[in-house]
Amino acid sequence: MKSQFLILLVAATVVGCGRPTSPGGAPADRFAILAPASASTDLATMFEPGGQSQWSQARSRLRGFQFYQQSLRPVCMNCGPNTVGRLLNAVPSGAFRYLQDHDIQIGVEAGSVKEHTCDGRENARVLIEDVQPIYATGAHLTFVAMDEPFTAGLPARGVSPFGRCNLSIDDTIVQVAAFMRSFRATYPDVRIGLIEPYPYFTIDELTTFIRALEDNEGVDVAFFRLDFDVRHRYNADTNTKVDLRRLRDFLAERRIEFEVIVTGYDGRTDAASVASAMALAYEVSGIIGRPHSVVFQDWSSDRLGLGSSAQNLPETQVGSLTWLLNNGLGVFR
Amino acid sequence: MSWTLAAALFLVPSLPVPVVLPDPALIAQPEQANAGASWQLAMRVTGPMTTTDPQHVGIAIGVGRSGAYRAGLRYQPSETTALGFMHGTLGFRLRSTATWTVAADVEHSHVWSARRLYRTGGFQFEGHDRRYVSLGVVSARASRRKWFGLIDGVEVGAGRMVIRNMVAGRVGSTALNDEPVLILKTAAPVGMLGVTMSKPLFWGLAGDGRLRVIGAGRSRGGVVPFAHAVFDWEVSKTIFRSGTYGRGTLGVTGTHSTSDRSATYYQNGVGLALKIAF
Repeated sequence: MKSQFLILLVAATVVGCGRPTSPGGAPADRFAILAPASASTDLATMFEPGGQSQWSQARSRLRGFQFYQQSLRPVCMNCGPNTVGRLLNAVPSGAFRYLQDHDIQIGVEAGSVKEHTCDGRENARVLIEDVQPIYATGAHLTFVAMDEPFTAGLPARGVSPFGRCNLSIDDTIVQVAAFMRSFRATYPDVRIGLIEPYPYFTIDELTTFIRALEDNEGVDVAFFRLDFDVRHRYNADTNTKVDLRRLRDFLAERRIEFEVIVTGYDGRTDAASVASAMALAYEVSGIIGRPHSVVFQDWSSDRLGLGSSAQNLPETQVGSLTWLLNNGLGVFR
Repeated sequence: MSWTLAAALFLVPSLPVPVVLPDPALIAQPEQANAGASWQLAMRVTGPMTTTDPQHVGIAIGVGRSGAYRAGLRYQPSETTALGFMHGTLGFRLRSTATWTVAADVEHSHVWSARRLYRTGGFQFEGHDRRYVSLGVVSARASRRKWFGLIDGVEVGAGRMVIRNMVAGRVGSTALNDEPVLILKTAAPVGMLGVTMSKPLFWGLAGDGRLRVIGAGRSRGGVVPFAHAVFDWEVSKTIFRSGTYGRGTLGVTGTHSTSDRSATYYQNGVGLALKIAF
């Protein structure tokens, strides 16, 4: 009886320790992150019994699943039908535990400096509250992707429908670092990375941001995620091939993981936008090969709060986000 | 009149074109320098050698006129449009001696091709390329001398290259886009340095070739290829010669480029060529 108890104890310990709160080493062949639009019509359906079978292939390829911060709230004005309540009730153990049980890392895209809140500490405080439902179900957060804080913090370049904090570079860096320190004070094992657009920012600017955060402020950037607008090159005096290789080498030297967002024009991934999304994937893979992670993302209408017709399911339907993931991953193999 | 305007007038507007180099058969040989003008007709049937090429057999026809003033035009439809490739030249001899012929030409090449870039399951991702190169070229060709037993001429040129990259998706026979989506439009000044080659071979065969290295200046997006090479070659044999019908040759021809963004219809294409000069 005693030996049976010991076996059970050892087994329970192994199971309990088998899912580290730190990112650990995800399988090398799983480098995809799925990031559905917060207002996508079937976000909760993905976890419901009837929806799980509609993305089984995509799910088996996932390293991570990313939620928008606002999707984790009980009430969200621009999330369509999605609330944290629906995610928790979609499956008995909740959507977050469901992902963890399938060895899929959970991530959140969050604002560290946003046009509506330029204070990094305040944004960290809000995020700490927002991620509570994840931990409440016994799951844990693996990464936080900061949603373009330098874009929101610095004065706008050209015409922009969004406001800006109009901070200096130095002040923006201070606020971003404050966000990272404040969040890590509560969740020290969560990886925090940076998203910024290119060629809106030049590679020199992007590397300056990262250097300043790491060298001046002493905060580690776990990953850099490139929001590459292939069309914006019309008006930018850039050399994409040279730039992306420079960025890759810079990040490798600092042991920062390089991630790339794959999405269609205007953040859409419907059937008509598939070609532009694949063009982005094809071009990036041709220049730098396979990055550490590829994020298949839809943010259509998120910012404007107009609702979205973005669909994640089924993976057999051309233009659904899971279909794009299944077909786009091959470009990077 | 600028050479670009001359080229524009020479070509039918909006015709798609692929290649950079004038047909060697259209270039007046030094020994022809003082001869009367002649007409040349050509037909090529070529196919792709690499997966990134347009996956169909292309049939090109060409017509040229040699002499003190010369012109040439090559046309090839693509799989999806009647105007897949156009290449036109217009020039004249600047100086002609017993040993050298120096000429000036303007050229315009226009490629309008569709290439399969990626395929998975039933989905096909296509690149719809539009590439244009306009060049002003000065060439010198020797009649009695060959360097390394092969090179008989040199040419230099300068001009401009334009690239418009478009993409489209397809599932089976269903197009996902009403029309290809433009993802990049860019251009850059280009310079060109080339050599022409010829050599008699065995069994009455003759070999001709032309190698061009094209370097581009800075382009938005860095897309216009820098320092790429294009090699056109032909091995042919005279199949008839008469005072009435002129001279006919039949041979194997090919085009090879180090960049899939060069202004050639196929990056690697090989086929047959039939030419008649009269």
